[in-house]
Amino acid sequence: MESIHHIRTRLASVKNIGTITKAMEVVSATKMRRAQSIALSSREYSFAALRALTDLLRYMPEKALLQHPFVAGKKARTPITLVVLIASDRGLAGAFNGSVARAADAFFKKDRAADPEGRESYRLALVGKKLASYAQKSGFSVVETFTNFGDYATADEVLPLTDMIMDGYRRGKWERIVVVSTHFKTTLAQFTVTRQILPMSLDQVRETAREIVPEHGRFAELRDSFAPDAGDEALTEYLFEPSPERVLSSILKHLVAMQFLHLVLEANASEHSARMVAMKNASTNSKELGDTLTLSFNNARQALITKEMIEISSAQVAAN
Amino acid sequence: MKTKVLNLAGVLYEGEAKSVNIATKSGEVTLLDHHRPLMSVLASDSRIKIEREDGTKEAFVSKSGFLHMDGNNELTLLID
Repeated sequence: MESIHHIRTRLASVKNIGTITKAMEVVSATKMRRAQSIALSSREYSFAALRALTDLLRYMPEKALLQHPFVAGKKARTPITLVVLIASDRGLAGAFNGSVARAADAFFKKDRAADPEGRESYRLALVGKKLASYAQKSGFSVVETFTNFGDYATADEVLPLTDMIMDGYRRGKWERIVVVSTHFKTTLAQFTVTRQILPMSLDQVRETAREIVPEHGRFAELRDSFAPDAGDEALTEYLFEPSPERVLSSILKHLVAMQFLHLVLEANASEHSARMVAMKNASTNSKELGDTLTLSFNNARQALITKEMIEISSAQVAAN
Repeated sequence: MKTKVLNLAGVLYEGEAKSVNIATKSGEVTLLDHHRPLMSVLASDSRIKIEREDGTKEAFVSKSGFLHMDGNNELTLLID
């Protein structure tokens, strides 16, 4: 049996860890709720942009939209895809970072299978430090790593990412932009999503705008309260300045920016909730371990007492 | 007219306005009540000046953005 002293030290450290994980759990829960409510604030913006787009498309032949470089895409002999992985700067969040890496692997495998001639090549852009080793292992070159997005990303923080991507896309550096991120479904369920952002599809954009309202829990009741496509019913004669094409470009640019911010914010909420669950498990474990240790401590203490009693009584017997 | 100024972080302004003055890519415009429906791209680093009925004013700066005046006398400004 272990010595009392030894058990006591272990018990103390287990209790300490338990306190820390418990605190982290509570902090993560608060951060998760805050991230959720921040994610909601971009809702008005996306709906307004979608409404403008719906109105605009009424006065523009659909062909104009389909031919826009953001929608039509460009053809290149050796196309390059930029894969943006959105994870975290910090660990201790269960499988959060790992599952993004796994989803990226799955994407590469599937994409390569669809391209038997192997003409497609890939570049990576990372959000968060934690995927650096994955990127190194994958062998793809990393264009840029964005770190310190904070607990809740702000539009200003995400702007360099969006600018870098849209600029590269416009100049033909990449023909396709794919994002691997985490979708926040509920506190207990998040799953990774792999999404093509550019060339964009309108259905995808509408889907993102709808997803801004979470499916379950707080705020979920807002989900059906607003139809993003409710445009102007009466046909009005619009004036477009400088030209309908320029207005379209501007709207599409805003929609892409909105999608990026939203993906990062959702990853934030997922990260906090993944950490909350991981810390909750750690607290439960430390409590169990603490209970076992307390039992063996009591055992050892009792054994010591019994031993002393035996010594005293045997000494008494010997003296008589 | 009903005016809304939105950015990705949320709603910056929401309410009635008597006039809104903005620099767009094709020149400075002042929008009054029942302006004809208009969609326009804002000039970079433009100043948005909103004047309410009671004469009080409000101003925002936008790096880029666009305005959407619809047929229901509602003006929406999306800015960065």
